[in-house]
Amino acid sequence: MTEPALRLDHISKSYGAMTAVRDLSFEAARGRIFGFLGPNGAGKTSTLRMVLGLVAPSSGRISVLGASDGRRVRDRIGFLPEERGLYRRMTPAQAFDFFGALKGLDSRTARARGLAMLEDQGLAQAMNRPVKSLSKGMAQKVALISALVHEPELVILDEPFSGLDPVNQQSLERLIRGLADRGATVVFSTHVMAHAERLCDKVVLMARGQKVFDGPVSAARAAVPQRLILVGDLDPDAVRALPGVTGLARDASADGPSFIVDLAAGASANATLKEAFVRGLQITRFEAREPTLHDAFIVLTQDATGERA
Amino acid sequence: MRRALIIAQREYLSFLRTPGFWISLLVMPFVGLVSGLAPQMIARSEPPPTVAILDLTGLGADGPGAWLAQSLQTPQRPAPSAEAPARPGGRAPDEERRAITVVPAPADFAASRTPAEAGQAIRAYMTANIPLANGRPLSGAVVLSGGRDHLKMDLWTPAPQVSGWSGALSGPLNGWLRRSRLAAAGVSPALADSLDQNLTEVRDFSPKAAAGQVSFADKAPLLVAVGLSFMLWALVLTGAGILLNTVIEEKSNRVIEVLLSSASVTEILAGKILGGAALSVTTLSFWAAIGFWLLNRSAPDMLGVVGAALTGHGLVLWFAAFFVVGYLMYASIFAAIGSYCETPREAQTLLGPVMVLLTVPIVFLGATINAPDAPVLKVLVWVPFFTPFLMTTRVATGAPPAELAAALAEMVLMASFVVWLSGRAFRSGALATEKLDPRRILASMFSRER
Repeated sequence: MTEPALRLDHISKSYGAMTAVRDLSFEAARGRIFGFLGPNGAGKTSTLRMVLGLVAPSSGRISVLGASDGRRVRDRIGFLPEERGLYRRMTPAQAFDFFGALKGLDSRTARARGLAMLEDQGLAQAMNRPVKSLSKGMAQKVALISALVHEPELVILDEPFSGLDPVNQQSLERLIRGLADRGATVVFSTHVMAHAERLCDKVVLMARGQKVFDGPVSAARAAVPQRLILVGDLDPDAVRALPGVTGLARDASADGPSFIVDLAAGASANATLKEAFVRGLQITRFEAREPTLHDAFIVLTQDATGERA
Repeated sequence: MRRALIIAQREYLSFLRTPGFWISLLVMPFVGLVSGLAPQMIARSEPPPTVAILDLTGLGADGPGAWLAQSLQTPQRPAPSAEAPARPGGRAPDEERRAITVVPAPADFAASRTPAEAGQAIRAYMTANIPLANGRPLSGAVVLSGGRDHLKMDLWTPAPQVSGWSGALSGPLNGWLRRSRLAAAGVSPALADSLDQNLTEVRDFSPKAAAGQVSFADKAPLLVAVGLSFMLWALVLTGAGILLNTVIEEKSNRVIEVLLSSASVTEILAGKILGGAALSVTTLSFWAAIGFWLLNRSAPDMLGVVGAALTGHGLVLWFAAFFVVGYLMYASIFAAIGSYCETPREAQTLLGPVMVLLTVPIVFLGATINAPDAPVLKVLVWVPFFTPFLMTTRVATGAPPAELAAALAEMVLMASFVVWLSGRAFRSGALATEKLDPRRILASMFSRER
């Protein structure tokens, strides 16, 4: 069996009296895209710093590309910090040169690879322009390419989509998929679930320093009960009495009378609907709504911490 | 080491490309040039002061008024004669005296009979700045009263003046008094004048002087050492300041995290300090070249003296050693401070105590010229934060090599400790997201956890 690119084994990290990460364990398989999700302050950045070897865990063990300390394999890792990570006066060419050299790459190769990736992004003309003259989206791509010129086996991206417009977000998603296609393991943190939903093979959901879920996106969604949207002149008590129904709320966003119905885990939406028609409920329209990763995150976080994340 | 060199190269080249570096490179020679030329520029920009003299002593042509006017108008000492008494060798600066022009007194001022009346008459010229008949403003007025026993001079100027006027005027008057009193005691004017011509010849000797008698060449090492110390101070401040700014920039744009993921703290700090040192050496070389060129043009004889001062007692070698260790210590402190700050304003709070430390040696450095062996200086050179700046002067005064070596060893130990501590602070600061107070910074520096 192939050694995972990343394995955390009961990791905790405390800063004085404050515990940033508590008993965290997970694995990230090689060549996959791994999402590290949670709200601000969930412990994502602290965990990524432990993976990179910037800070040491207070307890537990980490294995990064087979090494017990990220610093030993730093030349095989690419890292993009949140938002920036570039010298403003540098040109992309100089950035590829400098950051590539730190990873042991010669200048010519670094520039050639950087230019090729810029061309893929339609930014070849920016190669010799100072970073400060580039738009935020362009600079973010240049920063990412700087972290990739040495073709790392493990790519760690801290909130890579932060502050980008939808077009640039889509473009960045393509770039990340391309990394996985060439065999790199991508670990990225985000608090925007939609990116993880589209990109990730596996996610870890964090809240208040604790892991609340670890697995494929589909499994996360499956952990959340299905919902039904029922439209019509309905008696709320009659709806609540239907089999499998655990909660009911009026859909304030709808024009007419509409209800959002929470179903119990494992309950069948078909069976509930069938029973509703049997009981003669005046339903004019219905819709089974698949839970999103966002829904899953809310529910899982509430389950784990006993309150809204 | 490879990564440290890559970082050093980036630091060096990136700052070499900034206008700020070239400005700092030129500032020191410019300040030196301006300091040297400023007195001349001020003197040339101002017209020569005009003074009116009123003699109320009643001594007429032999009185102090005529004597003073003659002294101011003709600075050359005439041959003494019985009829026309020789003008005295006044003790006021000749330059000051030559700069003053005596003008005819305004009529109302000249008609005054008492100093009080004269004051009233001249006051209008002072306050309203009324020009004289020739159109020039009156810069001052002198009212002489009393006599040989008690001569009084009232000096009127438009504003309270702080220059050497009083000295320039009282010097000739004192000469006149001495001559008059000696004449009353029966001493001939010729003898009185000769008293000023054959004064005590003072010669400086020291066992440390090369030929016994002290020459400028013997004083040069201390002057050169003080100059080097000032230069070292400026270089440390400039180099460490540049380092501080780069770290602040890296912290604010998160490059510091990328660096930490690519190199160790030691490599990053070493690279930054090395790059900053290379910039300082570039600056030093430039300043040295400018100094050499200026000296060669203005005083080529001095080149040998300065060269001998630099090599004597191994001054230049000790300077280099204290420069390296001192720069290392201060640069690492500045880098650590920068790692906690995202803006220069944040850095100012933390920099305060360091700047106080840096100011102390400069305050004492000027005093070393007159008292290089003062006990207080001998104590201060052992304070590691001051040692690099003050020890060079001890080298120039011929301090024993054992003392210098011990001071250097102490500096190396202290610098090593400071660099180690700064490294810990740098890591902690670089990764800190919240603003830390000094107490938390200290705690993080001594924390066992990484």
